[in-house]
Amino acid sequence: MRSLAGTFRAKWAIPILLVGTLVFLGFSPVLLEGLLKGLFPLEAQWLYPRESPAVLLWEHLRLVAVSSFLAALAGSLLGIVATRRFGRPFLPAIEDLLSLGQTFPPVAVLALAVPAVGFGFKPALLALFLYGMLPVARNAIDGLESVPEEVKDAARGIGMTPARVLRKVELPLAMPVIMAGIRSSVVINVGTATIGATIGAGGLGVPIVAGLIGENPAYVLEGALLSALMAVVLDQGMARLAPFAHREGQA
Amino acid sequence: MREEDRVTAVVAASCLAAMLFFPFMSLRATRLSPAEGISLFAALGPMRALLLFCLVLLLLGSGLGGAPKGWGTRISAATAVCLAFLVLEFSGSSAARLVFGRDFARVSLSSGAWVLLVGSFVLFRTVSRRLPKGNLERTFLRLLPLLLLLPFLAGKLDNLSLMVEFANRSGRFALELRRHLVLGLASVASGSLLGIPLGYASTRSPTLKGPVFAVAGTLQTFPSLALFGLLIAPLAWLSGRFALLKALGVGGIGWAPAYIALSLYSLLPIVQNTFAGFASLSPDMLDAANGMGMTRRQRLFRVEVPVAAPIVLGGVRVASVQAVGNTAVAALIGAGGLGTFIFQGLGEAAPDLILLGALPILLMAVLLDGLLDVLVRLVTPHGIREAA
Repeated sequence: MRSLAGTFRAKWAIPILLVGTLVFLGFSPVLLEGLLKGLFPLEAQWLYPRESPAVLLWEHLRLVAVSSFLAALAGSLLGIVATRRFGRPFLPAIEDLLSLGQTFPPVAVLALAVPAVGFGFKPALLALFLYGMLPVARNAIDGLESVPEEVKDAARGIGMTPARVLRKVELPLAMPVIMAGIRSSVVINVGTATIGATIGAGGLGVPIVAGLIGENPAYVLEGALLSALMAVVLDQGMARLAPFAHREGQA
Repeated sequence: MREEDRVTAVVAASCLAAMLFFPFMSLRATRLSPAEGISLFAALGPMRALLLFCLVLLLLGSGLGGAPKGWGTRISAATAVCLAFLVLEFSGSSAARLVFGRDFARVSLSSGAWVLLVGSFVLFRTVSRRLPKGNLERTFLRLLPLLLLLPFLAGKLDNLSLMVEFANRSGRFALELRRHLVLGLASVASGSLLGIPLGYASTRSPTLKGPVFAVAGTLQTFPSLALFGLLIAPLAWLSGRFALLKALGVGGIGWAPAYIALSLYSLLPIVQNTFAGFASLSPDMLDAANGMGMTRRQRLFRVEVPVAAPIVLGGVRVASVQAVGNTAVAALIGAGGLGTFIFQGLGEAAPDLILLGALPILLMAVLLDGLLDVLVRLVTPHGIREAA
């Protein structure tokens, strides 16, 4: 048997390393600037001047966190409603709309939120929330549907009310699948949020877009490096948190 | 007693609410001035508005009356298509009336009309699902929405702002559409060329599987804009170094980084599904093939590939839909495609220009999805089809 500390090291070594790199690059501009300077010695400036990397990182994280949190909540709720008795007739229609929504390019959702609520943080939040909800709802439906009928029957048989069956049996069993949906929703949102810079939402897309327009590859790399790192950190972090959602007695 | 058909009732009721309370169309004095909502009655006139109301009430009635059976199903499905058809037809002619004599005025569909269109889509799908599978009538009914192309083809919609944007850029539109399609499909093709062998090899060698999945998975988590951005510097360096690459048009911006990034993106779904497809072969099946005296080659092409093909194609399907959407972002790095219109529309605050980019992408994704779905069914071997 491996020691507890050993398991911990093996499992968390890479994420901790990644978080370290992200924090280091994000919060010590000197280091990041040095790196970019080495790569692009011919440029006059290496860091996006109007905002520090730490602020951009924070803006990005805030946008993703708020939208993903709301999307996780609303998506799970939609999944629950669609699999209850009163909502079941709507299941095929909801599934239709979910798959139609997912064929819509995220950029377009973002762009169309602008005429609805104007430029800035709000349209990006709205778009990320709507688009991020789709994978969560999809997985919540799949997860809740995959709970075997016998298990639910047994729960009802020992006198559980429908609300208790949902809380004590269905949700715990479906949780890993729902968590996987939330994880992909977060990753999609990190990506869409970079494009949010084009609608004035701030974040790490800002230096990328500024660099593309001003033909400064150092700005582009600054944003690309940090946002890619952030996506990997969040993805890996959530993958490692997922087992905590498992309950005892579950495979 | 028949239980009421809740889906039809709820969707029809929301359509009704949208007709009463949402603006049906919007009018701008010029392309960039603020929009002013126009109600259904004001936009279409009382007779036509009443006709739409009657159709929605008919659907509401059929929903409250119970799940339609037999002819009821057919009539409900036809009514839903009719509703969408009339929304398009009427808004087209109303747009013509609204912009008449006002050269710069623009008319667009507004929330009410969109709710009706989406509502009739949901109703149509819900109702037509009730017809028995595999009969000719169901196929016929499925094709009914093609009627919606008529107002578009007949030029009835030409006065809607979306179509005006299209007419102003028809040459450019064809070019960007082609670029979008070529870029998206070429990257999925190269993703398959790379991903299928890698996925197959992963089933053979567990030591390969780990790194392949890790790399493909990590690439997939990268934001698309970041992946494009990461490729700009190395490609610019390469094209500066090698004249041949430069002559081919490879550079830091343009099609090259977009093509490479989109190919890398399509890796994960293809590798995953290829692995799942070949891993799904049961040892018994392979044993039976060996027992029949098949050579390894025969076994591969006559047993393994046919069984795995539908699952592999499923991965290609996911990758294609994803690539068509992500190609929109490629416009930001100068690769062109329909994203050009989306970003241009954003810059000019012209929602109809955004739609001109977005709607064809949506349509393309839906068509590709459907096409590959049909292909998946066609390649599924009979033995498996019956078991499923």
